[in-house]
Amino acid sequence: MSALLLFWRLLVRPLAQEPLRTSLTVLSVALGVAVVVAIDLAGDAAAGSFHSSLESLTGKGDLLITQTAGLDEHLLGRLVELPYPLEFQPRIEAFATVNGKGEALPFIGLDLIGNGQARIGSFGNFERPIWAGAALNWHNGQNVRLLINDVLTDFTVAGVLPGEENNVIVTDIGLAQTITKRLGHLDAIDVKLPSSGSVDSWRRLLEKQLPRGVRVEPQGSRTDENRKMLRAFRWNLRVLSYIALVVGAFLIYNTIAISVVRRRNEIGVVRALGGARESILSGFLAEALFFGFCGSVLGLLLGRALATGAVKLVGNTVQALYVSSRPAAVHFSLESIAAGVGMGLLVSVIAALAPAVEAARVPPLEAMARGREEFSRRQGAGKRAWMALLLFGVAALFTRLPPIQGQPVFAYLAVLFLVIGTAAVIPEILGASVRASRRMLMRVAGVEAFLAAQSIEAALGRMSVLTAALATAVAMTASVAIMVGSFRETVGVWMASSLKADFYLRPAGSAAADQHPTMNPAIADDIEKLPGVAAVDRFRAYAISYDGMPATLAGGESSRVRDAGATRFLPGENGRAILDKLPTGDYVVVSEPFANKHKISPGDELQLPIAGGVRTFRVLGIYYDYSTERGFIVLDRKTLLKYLPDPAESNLAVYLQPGADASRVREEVDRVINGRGILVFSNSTLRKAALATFDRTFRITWALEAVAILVAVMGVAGALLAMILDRRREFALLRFLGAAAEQVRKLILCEAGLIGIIANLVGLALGTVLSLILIFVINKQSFGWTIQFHWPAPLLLAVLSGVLLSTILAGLYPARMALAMNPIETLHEE
Amino acid sequence: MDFPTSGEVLLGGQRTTALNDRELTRLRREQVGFIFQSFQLLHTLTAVENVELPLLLAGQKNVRSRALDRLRWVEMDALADRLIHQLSGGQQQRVAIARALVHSPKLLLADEPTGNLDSATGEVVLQLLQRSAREFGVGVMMATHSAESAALAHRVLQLRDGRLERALAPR
Repeated sequence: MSALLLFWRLLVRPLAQEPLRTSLTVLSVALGVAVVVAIDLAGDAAAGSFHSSLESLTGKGDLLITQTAGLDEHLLGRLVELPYPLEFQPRIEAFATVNGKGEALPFIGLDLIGNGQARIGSFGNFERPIWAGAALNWHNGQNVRLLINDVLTDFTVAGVLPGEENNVIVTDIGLAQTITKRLGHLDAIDVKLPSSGSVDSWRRLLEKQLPRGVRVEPQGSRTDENRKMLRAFRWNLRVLSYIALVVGAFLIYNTIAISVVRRRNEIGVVRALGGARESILSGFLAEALFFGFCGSVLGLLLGRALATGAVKLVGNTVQALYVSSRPAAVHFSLESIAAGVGMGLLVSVIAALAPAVEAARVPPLEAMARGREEFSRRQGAGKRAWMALLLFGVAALFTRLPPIQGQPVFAYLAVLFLVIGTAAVIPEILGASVRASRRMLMRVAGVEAFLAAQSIEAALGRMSVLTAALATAVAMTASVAIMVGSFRETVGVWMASSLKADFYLRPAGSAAADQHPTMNPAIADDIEKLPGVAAVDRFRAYAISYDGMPATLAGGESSRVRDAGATRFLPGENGRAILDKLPTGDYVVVSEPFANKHKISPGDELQLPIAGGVRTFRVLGIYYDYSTERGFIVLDRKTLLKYLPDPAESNLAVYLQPGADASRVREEVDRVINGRGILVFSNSTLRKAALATFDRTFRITWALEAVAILVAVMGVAGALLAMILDRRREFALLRFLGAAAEQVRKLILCEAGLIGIIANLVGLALGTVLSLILIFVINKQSFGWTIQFHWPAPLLLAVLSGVLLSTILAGLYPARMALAMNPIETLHEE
Repeated sequence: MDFPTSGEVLLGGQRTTALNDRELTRLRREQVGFIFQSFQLLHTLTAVENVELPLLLAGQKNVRSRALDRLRWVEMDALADRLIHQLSGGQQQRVAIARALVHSPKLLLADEPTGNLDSATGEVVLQLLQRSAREFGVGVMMATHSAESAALAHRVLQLRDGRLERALAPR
């Protein structure tokens, strides 16, 4: 009880005297925790609901039977005749967009006459009835025009399916087969098992009855596969979300260190009056916990609010790069609460450890005698330099180590070590910089800048922590900016070399990485006959599963690709020879992310479940592809048609004859596709659209970086406020000596500016090193993309000047506070 | 720095209450020097840098020689590059006097200038103040509790509890 009272009197009550600074510290923890919580919740929600709405509709089946490019309908008949007490529910899976615009909605065909009718209700007398999920807000009898593949069809809503999150459109399987032109085919068969026997034993039994190439999996394995595919993405996102918390840790450290400096006298008195070393230690740790706890609780609330926006951003990326999913509801679990609060508390205590230990070590007499003095770390400069060198060495070593279970754990640690190592030598960098520049500052910016440099040197300890926090935020942002800029440049170069056609066509509707709606094959034939058209490259893609991971199986016309020179293979591979050989047998080429994910080299063999059997394909080459992380397995179109004889295409590339009038041909193409839901892109609009998608997928990254910088700038503001209070005598004296109000303001802004400039320079240098790790180690181990290093100068310049400006602005309020103090009273107090 | 609760302060015939912040700053820069009981030097600067400060704040250039001149005058030029904590109390107050005089003010305001010093050192400081009045023609206005210090003044105004008790005739 007495400990609590002392804690309250000696540590909490003084915090109330500086409400603004206390709030800034709490807010910085809160923002750090909020971002971690928001990303955690959003990641869960965005990865959460593949087909979950469907499961709620049909009742959860136990097993799912599927096959690449669909099952033969006759299989159902054979299954039903099996002498087992099993229930089978066939389904057609497609996507539909309302009028060909907006979100792609799952369009599911079910056997409504057999099983599901009781759930769905009466058919009504409609020609094409559908049942719509409640989330769509459609009413009974409403007419809806849906684009499925490239055809717009009118439907009537015969009923609404329950469930707030439910956005599925359901119709009878016969109608669905007709609309999707999949007569005689099924996409999947749900199997409900009796309560006797294990899922596994039934699975083995069914496998024996089914042709090779047909997969029988427990329900939810597709969701599991998707989650597995998303793991690297979520990992990286999660690591990014910790940056703000790491920056926040520096600020906690600074706050506690300032607290220790200010109470040096009190520490001496408390120790002299019988306080134990441990009480001092636990007192300051408790202060950090106090910040951590308040920040975490606030962070949880803030994180929950941010999650809604984050879900949208994360969902965008997932949709564009991986799989169509409708974000589930954000779900605040006990686990995420515990993780958020735990993280906040842990980071606070770790950050406060050094200054708290320092406080506990202070000999009481010395503390009382010397009074307030700058917090200085016990380790000398030499020791810290050695530590930094050691950390840099270990970091260099760690970048050479392989990933653990596909995650670049060592590379992340290398990043952390580089950040800590740099922070350790910041006092030397900061001290040397201000010493070297103060004369120059005096000449260029006047005595105020000189005094600012002097004060920074005098308070090197706390200014270094501040600089380190800001430099870390800058470094992280710069490294991500360089990585994203390099990636964007690489994608741009790749597009320039691989998008050689004049027009591109695909069915309208949203373009998710796992959706491959098709077009009527007559369109390609008609376009090829148009005057001015040299060739049409027909491309067909299927979403498949390879080795437990989602992938894309596709067929293209090798000769067209070869003639256009539209595919770049990895160094050392002869692209022409590969494309010449591709149509001559069971050969494939694979995209770089696929090869990396499955550790495949040219010459390897792939076993693909295709056309009622498992076939072996030899890999001829690996090509660069930046369109999706799922990875491509590409066959020649003839080979693909041999096994999967559906001639409908997912994409067309139209090459014009030299000298052809592009706008005339475009008019003709538009005439051919008239009335169908097909989008035509010119070469340049496709590139623009692709870059727009690229930029959209990195919005979440920018949002995270912005929060980290915001936290750092808040830290600068908080620390400057503390500094103003601690140096009020100096500012008062300057007024006595003839300093005008503007001069005092300029001095404070100069200090903020100097910190900003040095943090920017250190951050840029560190960020460049970190970007190399991001590009060549973390990206390579997580996603398998080759990215060419590129310095996005305008972007970096914008980021750095933004940081500098906000740092200087962070000094405005503290400067106002300094000027509001009465110089006479201040000097009297002292 | 402060305004009277009643009455007025005239400095060189100028009413200070009529001046705005900018004009007051200029007044301090050009006409007034301050000396404090606790010296009030900036610990981050060397002795000579402290003395240069009023000139630099006033935007003047090439200030080193004038600062050294004043330090020489208080016999501190040998220690010009010392940091403040490397100086004794008396030495610090001498640097403070050099600083107060560096911009050749008309008035020197000294608040208990000897309060933190032993009597021998205090004596030296008082002599410096007397000399500054003689050699530079500065008016020195000093607040003190010490009768000995007061005895050096041409004119003494005795205050008790904030009220003027008596004014002694000029010597």
